[in-house]
Amino acid sequence: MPLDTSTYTLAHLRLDGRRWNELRRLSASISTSGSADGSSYLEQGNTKILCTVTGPQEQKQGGARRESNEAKVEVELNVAAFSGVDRKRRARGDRRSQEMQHTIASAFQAVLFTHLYPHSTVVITLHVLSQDGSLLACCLNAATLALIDAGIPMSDYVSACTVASSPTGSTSSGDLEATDPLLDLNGVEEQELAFLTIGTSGEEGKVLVLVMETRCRVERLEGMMAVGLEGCGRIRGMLDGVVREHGKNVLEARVG
Amino acid sequence: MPPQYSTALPLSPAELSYLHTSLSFDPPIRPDGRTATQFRPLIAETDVLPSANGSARICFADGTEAVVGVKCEVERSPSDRSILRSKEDDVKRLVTGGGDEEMRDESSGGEDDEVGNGSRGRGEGRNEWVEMAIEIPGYRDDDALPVFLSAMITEALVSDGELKNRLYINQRFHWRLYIDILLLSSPLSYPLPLLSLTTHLALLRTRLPALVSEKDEDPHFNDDWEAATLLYPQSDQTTTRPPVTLLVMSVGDNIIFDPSKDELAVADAVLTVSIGKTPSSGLRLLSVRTVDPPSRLTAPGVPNSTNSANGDTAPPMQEALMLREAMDEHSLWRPPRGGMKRALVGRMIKMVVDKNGVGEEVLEGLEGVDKALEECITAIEAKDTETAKQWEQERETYTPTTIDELIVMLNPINTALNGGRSSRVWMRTKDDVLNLKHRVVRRIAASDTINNFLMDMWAAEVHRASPSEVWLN
Repeated sequence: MPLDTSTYTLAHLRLDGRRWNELRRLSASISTSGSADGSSYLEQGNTKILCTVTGPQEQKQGGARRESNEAKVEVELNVAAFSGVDRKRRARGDRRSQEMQHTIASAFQAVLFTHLYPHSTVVITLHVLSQDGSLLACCLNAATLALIDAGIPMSDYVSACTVASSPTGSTSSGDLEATDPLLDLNGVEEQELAFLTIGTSGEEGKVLVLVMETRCRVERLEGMMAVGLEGCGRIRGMLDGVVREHGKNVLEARVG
Repeated sequence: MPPQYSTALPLSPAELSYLHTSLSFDPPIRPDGRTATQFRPLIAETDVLPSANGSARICFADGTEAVVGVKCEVERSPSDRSILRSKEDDVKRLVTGGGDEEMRDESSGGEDDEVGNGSRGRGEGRNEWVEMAIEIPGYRDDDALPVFLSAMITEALVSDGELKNRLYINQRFHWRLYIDILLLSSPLSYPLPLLSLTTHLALLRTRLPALVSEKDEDPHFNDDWEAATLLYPQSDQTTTRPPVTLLVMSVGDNIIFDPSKDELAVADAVLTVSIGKTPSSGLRLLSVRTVDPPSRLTAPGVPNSTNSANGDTAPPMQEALMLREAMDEHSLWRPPRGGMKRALVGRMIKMVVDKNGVGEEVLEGLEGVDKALEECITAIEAKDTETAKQWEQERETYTPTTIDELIVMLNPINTALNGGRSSRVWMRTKDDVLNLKHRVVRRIAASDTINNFLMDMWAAEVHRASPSEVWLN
């Protein structure tokens, strides 16, 4: 168990040496691929995601013509076979991938200014090169950067992170102060603890995505969400920094 | 099924004729000004995936990118071998039924190594132990292109017969090698050389955990990843290197390497040549396949004499055909007809396989990717000022002065394939290199792995960042 180690009980340090509210090392760069309209590469710890965006473009030929005044956001998630510890080929269109694709698509459908591009499609392709926890959160972060690189207007950044409820451990049932919720989980922690993924947009932290597949006591939920909102705010700041850095580089390269 | 969102525009007969004529000159004039044997610059990195036994990533200049990850698993050998074994062994096998799981817990990363030094003589592998999967965006897994590419690359890989023998552990277990190729962008041109180069690089860096058990007992491995051995050992006399497949095309009597999409569109003939390297006898030809050049699918031009758009009437079909046949082929585009001359095929193969030929350059360049990186890392980690002074002493005329140039030259495959310079050229820099090293040392301390460092360097090159910006964060 990741939190049963003596280092946690004594010094409150997780397996990788982080404290409860420390994010993993996040590094990202945008405009990584020349051939796509927008692209980005994001690493959060050992989770590495490469995202490319093409669009807005014409709808596919054939099939029912979608009557709409908005662009449609389509997401394709490719988890590479070598991404996990064991080599495993995911079948295209398995339920978990489809759910994640749908979550990401609806998150961006709400944030992008789709009314500017009627009858067109924005295709977001996510390649997961290595996964070590927080997959959905990293996908949302990477997609945000790629969409910004593609120049598609959106109301604000979408930033996401994971939060785990602190384990009850050996505390008695009446003791609720226990320990703090953990921010930004890696693979081992995700398997053992109950966690949620929260995605927000904007500085005030409007919640767009909230996914929880495990169970925890309902009293803890508020604390987890508070930690998550703060973590998302920090990630938003980092993503913003990456974009501004890139902008500065582009300007200086052009102007000299 | 073609990719849904490809934006390829077909070339007009006038453009095709122009390209074809330029490439037929002696020496051929290529659209980007390269020589006939010059490759485009590319970016190559290894060990980009922390959870794979070996990995590589190559980006070509036209924006296509591929990532290859190699993973290995221990597998029980098929039970028909058990007939030869004693009953004792059978009982042991039943008792240790959870052997696979035990092994996974023991070894870090979970994969086994092939038999390295112990039982080489007994090793006999099977080609089924190598499994390859190619993913191309926009194509399904059973479409023609991925299946064909996968078959070609696997064929070259197992053709020397050595790889499968290295996957043998003992009579009851063996390694299963999974090679997963991921093309990260829609294929703009025929992706085979890119995928083959990336696979070669990944296999070159694939390591398997060191075996510590003996003979036929359940395999146990050394937990220390530093002790892991390479799949293709560097210094062994009898081993070969993974193969490389190159695309070669011909226009008239000219042979052209690394063709771009435009050049392929006017090719008379296209071959894929797979070569392998044996330390003893140099390069070895593994396979040659012909590729149907896309030029055959183009429409022929319409000569002015038969063009009804000029206001005259168009002559009847028979006459129009005769007129077209009679025209000089250089004045009007016609899709190529017929096959290749045998002598031409021979010349193409010779150019690839010969000593100091194109094949050797490519293989050396790929090997250089690792060597340069290792030297760079050891020098930096050792904060070795003596090495820096040595570099100064061996100064050459070309001295890059900015980090931009240093970054470009840190990809020795770039230099090797583009001018025949050795992979050590990048180290000859001026005094600034000392300052650079200090900054680089600080940067590595801040980033987790060399991979992140490389990613930043690569990002800087792509963005043409000014030197100071790279180090600011």
